[in-house]
Amino acid sequence: MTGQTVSGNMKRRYLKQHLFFGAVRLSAVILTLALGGILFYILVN
Amino acid sequence: MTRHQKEIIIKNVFLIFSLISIFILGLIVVFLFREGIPLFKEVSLRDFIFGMEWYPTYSPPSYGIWPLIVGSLIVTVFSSLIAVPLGVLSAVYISEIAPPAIKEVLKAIIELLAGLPSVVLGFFGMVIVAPWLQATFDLPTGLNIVNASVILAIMAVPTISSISEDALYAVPNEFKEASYALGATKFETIARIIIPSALSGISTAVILGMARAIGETMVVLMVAGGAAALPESIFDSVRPMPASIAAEMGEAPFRSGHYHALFATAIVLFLMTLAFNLIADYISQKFKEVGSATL
Amino acid sequence: MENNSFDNEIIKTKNVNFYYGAFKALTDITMNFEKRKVTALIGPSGCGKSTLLRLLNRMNDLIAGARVEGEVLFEGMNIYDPEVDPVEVRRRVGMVFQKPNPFPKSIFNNITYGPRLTGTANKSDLEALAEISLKQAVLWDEVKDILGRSAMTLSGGQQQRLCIARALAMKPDILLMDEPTSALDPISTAKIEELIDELKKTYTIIIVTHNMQQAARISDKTGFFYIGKLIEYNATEKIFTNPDVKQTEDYITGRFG
Repeated sequence: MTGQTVSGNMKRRYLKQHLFFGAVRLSAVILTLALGGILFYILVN
Repeated sequence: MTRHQKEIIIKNVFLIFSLISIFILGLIVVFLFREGIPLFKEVSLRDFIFGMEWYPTYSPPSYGIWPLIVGSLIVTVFSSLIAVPLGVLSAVYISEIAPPAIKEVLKAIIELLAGLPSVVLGFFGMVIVAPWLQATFDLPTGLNIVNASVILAIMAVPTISSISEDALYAVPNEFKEASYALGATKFETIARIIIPSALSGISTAVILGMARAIGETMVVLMVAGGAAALPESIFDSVRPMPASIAAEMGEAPFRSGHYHALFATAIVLFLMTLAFNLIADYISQKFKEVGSATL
Repeated sequence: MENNSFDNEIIKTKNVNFYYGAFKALTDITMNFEKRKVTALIGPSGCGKSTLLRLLNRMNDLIAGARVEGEVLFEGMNIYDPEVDPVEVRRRVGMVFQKPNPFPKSIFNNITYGPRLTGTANKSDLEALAEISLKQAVLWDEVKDILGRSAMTLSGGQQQRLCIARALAMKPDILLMDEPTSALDPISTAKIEELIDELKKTYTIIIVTHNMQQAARISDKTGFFYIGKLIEYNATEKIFTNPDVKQTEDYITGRFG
């Protein structure tokens, strides 16, 4: 395996990691927003 | 009194309490069947389950609960589609990725969500989500499958997330170290080692979350719309089984056909949640006995 | 101990200090490791020998609050340089742990886990690789008919050799071993020691051990650690017969530790 393909491979592996972490963080944000929205609504009314 | 005697007494006290609770549960089941079974003098089991018409107060009444079963299943499936990825991914985030401070905040948020009374969530669905859906998609009513699924998903997420999280924590550190030492990235370690090792716990979490959604009453009563007909789109109203039981029990004359039909509906619901729990139990047992199953 | 620089050195530490939070676990370690030799790290519990081993493939990165000062040069490149990807380092510096830790997967999937990550997808390549690695770890004859079975069904000694085969499948340059026989029975231990003797023809092996006889049996060079410091680093024979430092002698003759 040449250095070139190894680093290309690494790039793809880290891209997958970034996408997954993005999805995971997004779900945490959605949850926070959902709860935040509900609590906000309850408090305002 | 010797220590030994004390131990025997304590043991028996616990035994008695657990027997009492099992006995009470047994009585509830017996009662359920005693009040539900007489319906089948009036209609056949087949007409009851697969009947398309639920007109319990007409004369002659028709007691077909197929639309109710479909209503229950459809909101359960849609809410799972939302809640499962959200719950599992947030569990992964909490247990593997989040920095300690965010982790604590998120756990607190999920506990708060679990603690919200369902009537509050139902109310939220009625006065916020419903008008918004109605206006955005130009619908006759915002009380429909989408609304019920979203609210049920919010209810199921804490169950799914916290049980999955426990399963993820239980994955031995040695597996993670082995994976990193072989040059795996964090994502690869999570996707290929941690999640597969925690799979039985995660499946249990998912099924228990679904069981929670299918049995939930207040939310579907408030936001599902209540139409006892087969839905044609995800913006149609439905009438899941718990909603039907809760709404109609007050009006059904004691031991009338309608009354028995509602109990028979409850039997169906009971059997469905029982099945969910048995599946969850089976999955967690199966993986446990092997120690670590071959993946 | 300062040593003359060797032409065939593969990895070396230069004035390395290591901290777990405020606790200083290693002080000023400078050490050269030679290619295709077995280097043993010995010393009483908590002396920092495992910590040093884990520095060499950046496994300590996984511990929160860990901090490194100084340089670890692997083929002349500092692996703690911010530009360096720890994943690449670990691919070339394999590790075997104290407790056998096969994945709860089949034997075949255990071996091919690493190579698959780096992009080997061809089934026959993977099969060939599994066979070579298992033969190198002298496990092939015992498992060739049960490659699809869960690795958890193997005995402890077999599991440890599987872990070695799994590390070898990555074709590493260095193999780090953290007390690889401490959880095993004497027969399995003997097998692993034979294996190490065979492997040093191809690989550089650095092994942490509690067992001084083991260090004496299998290693070419030995480093003695005490409370985070490298007390003496010499040829194994010298360390065990005529050490330069009094403390080493005391430890080896069992006067403390």
